[in-house]
Amino acid sequence: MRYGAVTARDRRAMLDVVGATDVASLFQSVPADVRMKRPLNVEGPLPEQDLLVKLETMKGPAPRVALIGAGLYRHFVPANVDALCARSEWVTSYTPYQPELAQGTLAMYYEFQTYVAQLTGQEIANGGMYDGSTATVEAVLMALRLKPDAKVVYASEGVHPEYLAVLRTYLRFQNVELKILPIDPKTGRTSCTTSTADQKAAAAVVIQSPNFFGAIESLDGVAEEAFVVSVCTEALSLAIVPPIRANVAVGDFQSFGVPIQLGGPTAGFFATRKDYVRQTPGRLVGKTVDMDGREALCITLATREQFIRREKATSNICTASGLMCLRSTVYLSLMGRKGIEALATQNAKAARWFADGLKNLGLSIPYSAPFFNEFVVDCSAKPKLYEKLLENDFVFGLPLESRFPNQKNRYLINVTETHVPRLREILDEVKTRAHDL
Amino acid sequence: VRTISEPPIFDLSDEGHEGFPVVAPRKEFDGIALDFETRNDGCGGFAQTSEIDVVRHYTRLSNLNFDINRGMYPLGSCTMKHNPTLNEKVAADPTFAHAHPLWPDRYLKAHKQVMAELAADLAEVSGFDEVCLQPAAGAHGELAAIFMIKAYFEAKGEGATRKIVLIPDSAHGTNPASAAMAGFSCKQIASGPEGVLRLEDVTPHLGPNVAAIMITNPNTLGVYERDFSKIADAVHAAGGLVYMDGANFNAIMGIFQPGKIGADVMHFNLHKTFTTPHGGGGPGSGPIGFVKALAPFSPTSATPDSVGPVKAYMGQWGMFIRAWCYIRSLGGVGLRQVSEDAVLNANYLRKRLEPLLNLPVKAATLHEVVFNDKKLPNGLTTGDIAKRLIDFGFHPPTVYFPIMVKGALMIEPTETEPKRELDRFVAAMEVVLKEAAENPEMIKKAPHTTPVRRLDETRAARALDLRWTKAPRAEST
Repeated sequence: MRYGAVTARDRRAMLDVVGATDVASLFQSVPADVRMKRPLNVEGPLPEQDLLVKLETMKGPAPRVALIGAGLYRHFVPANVDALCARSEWVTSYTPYQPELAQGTLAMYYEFQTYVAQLTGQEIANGGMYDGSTATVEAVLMALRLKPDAKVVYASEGVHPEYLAVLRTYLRFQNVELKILPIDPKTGRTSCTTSTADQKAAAAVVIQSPNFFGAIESLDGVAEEAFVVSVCTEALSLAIVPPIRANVAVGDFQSFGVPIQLGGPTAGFFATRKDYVRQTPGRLVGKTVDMDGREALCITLATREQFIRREKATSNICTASGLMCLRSTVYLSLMGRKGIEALATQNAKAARWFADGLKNLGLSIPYSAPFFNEFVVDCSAKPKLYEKLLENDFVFGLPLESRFPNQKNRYLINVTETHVPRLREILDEVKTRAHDL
Repeated sequence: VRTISEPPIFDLSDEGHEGFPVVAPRKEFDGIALDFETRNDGCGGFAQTSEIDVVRHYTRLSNLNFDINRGMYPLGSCTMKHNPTLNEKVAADPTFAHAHPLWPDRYLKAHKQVMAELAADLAEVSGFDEVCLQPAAGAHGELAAIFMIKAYFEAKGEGATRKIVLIPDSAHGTNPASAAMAGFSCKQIASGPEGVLRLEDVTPHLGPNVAAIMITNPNTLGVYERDFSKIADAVHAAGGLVYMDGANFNAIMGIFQPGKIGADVMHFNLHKTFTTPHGGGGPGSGPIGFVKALAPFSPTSATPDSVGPVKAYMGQWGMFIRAWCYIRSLGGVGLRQVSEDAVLNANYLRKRLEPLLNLPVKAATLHEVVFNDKKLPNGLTTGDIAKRLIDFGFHPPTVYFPIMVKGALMIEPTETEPKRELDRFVAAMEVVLKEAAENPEMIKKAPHTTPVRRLDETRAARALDLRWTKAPRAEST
């Protein structure tokens, strides 16, 4: 069989040592009445080339142009990110429980934790979560551990709707109510009119910035005393937009060298204050020395984790996002401070330029708050524009109406550096189709 | 304090270097002003290095790692098998790597076909009616399943009474941790002397307050849970549900189908059984299979009974395509051969190691075997032996787990180890144990050949240093 390492001769020799007549006898502990009596019915075996040919024939059309972000952003991935991260020493190694054999992985986590803390302006960060949505949940669960009597969590309507849905799933079993803070229809920012007392009593106030509609949040109305969980799905924005004040900062580093791959796996992050370190979920890597006095790294404060603390653990998380943390770490190191700032600036300018171009076509930008590389456009003036473009494999952003009935004819548009080389042509194409309507 | 051979990237920083150029500046953007406040702290202290610095840094760091491509990882219950290169290549195909889950359906034809076929394959190998692919890792799959169980009882009006989940002492820590996250209280049950959970150990705990039992089968001793079906019947008769932890699924493909012998829901670890890489701690992928009665409660069910999504988007697509390729590379006969060879390899190692190490549980084992430190001379521990094996080119086995075996040394070779490698492992163990008797200091100070030696882990927890910070500049005098 493919990937098999044991020959028929080996099998015979090993069975002789074991003292078994055949392999079936090794399964005697499995009662006869539970055993399968037929072969498994799955496709294959397919040799390597046949498998690749089959996959080619399965592929359908792809969009020529797509302006969808909505929590997952198409950014350019430098060749070195793919090359360095494909090394088997990263790909095929285990979680670094044996630090003598995993200083490379541990050093990567230490740098990842540093990058997360630097970008979010927090004191410490952990070694990654599954993704932004589950990191958001873990932040709220930590807030609930710190305020066990709280019965309410506030979250902005501007938090990614799929993140909110995941949060709702978890909170249902915590007997905690999730209250939504609406988006101001003029600015696109969260409208927080809840009293300071109510915010103080709540476990957390969850705010995303830039929010799902692209608006950079200001925290107006959010009480100083509130326990703020900040969410960031477009981490590139953090290179130039100051992080919002937060007790816990979570989100996703997918933008940093991690392909979208239908939304998973990505690189969730979790950063907070040093005071809360013993309440944090997930893995932490820290510095120490070895018996010869050399600096070395190891997993630390593992007594918070499930494999030691079991039902009293801060989280059940075990395997997280190692390779995606690696990709984002290598990406950020390669980009450097100047590279990442320049890229973020160009994203913001390109999006602004494109939004201005759409305005000139008679479309409107309904929200007044500043945005980074994503914004809402109102196509009420050209309601058929999206379909018209789609006929030509041009995905004009994400139609918001299906998720938000009050966002009729509105689309969430994302512009990144991947669009920049053809941005004028892309705008021209929108112009041509708009004129046809 | 001496410094490690490769300093953090931040120590290599020199502001004289240029940033990475992705796209040349565009004239049309010159007049665009940013209408928001920008940060002025240099991204909080980022590094600025040259490309060769970065290339060498991550190449050198990678050289400090052990990996499957270098040697055997006999980690019990972790199933560290060969990760096919083909699957990496396919996952990196731009058609798949850059696809966005919110694109219109017409662009996701192949992707959805892969997902549907993978779900059908997993249903076939496990015998469950339906599969939900969404959970991000094994523990996340457990949690999704526990949520479904909770919702199931709430829908039946038994949510307030069925508050207990029974968990044997051989379980992974994720089991009780997941159950606790759904608000269940956990009751631990001791396994019998033969390393299995006996029906009579379980029955006294059953009643109207028990929601479910979580059983790993084969369990973490590698032993088939002999009473599994009887226990399942008893739990069902008492109105409860049976969760099977699929961590050890590598032992049973084509041998038995959990969904046909009493389990109601189970998680898969695509990063164990189905060869997606462990990646130094992820990403994993933890689909769950379940019986029809639980289907309405699935995270991805379209009914109002759904517990709701446990993760944004569809799940770990990058792992789905790898597992899909793996299954097709082997076919049904191949998958059964995987389990047969995994079990044969483990039994061969057991037989060869039995004269050397103490075997606390004598029952027949499948894909893994657990020894302990009872016979070790000169006060040596399991940890000592594990560390010395490193010097012979092996990653240590799993140590001190399962927790019910004192000083456990848990070995799972997997089917992708050739006999030659198993023999090498036995030979190494023979040398180590001879040394244990004659030169215990050699073992107590092991490993001797690694980039760093044994660590002061207490110091790491006491003087927390979790991130790089700029070293304070020495005062010049």
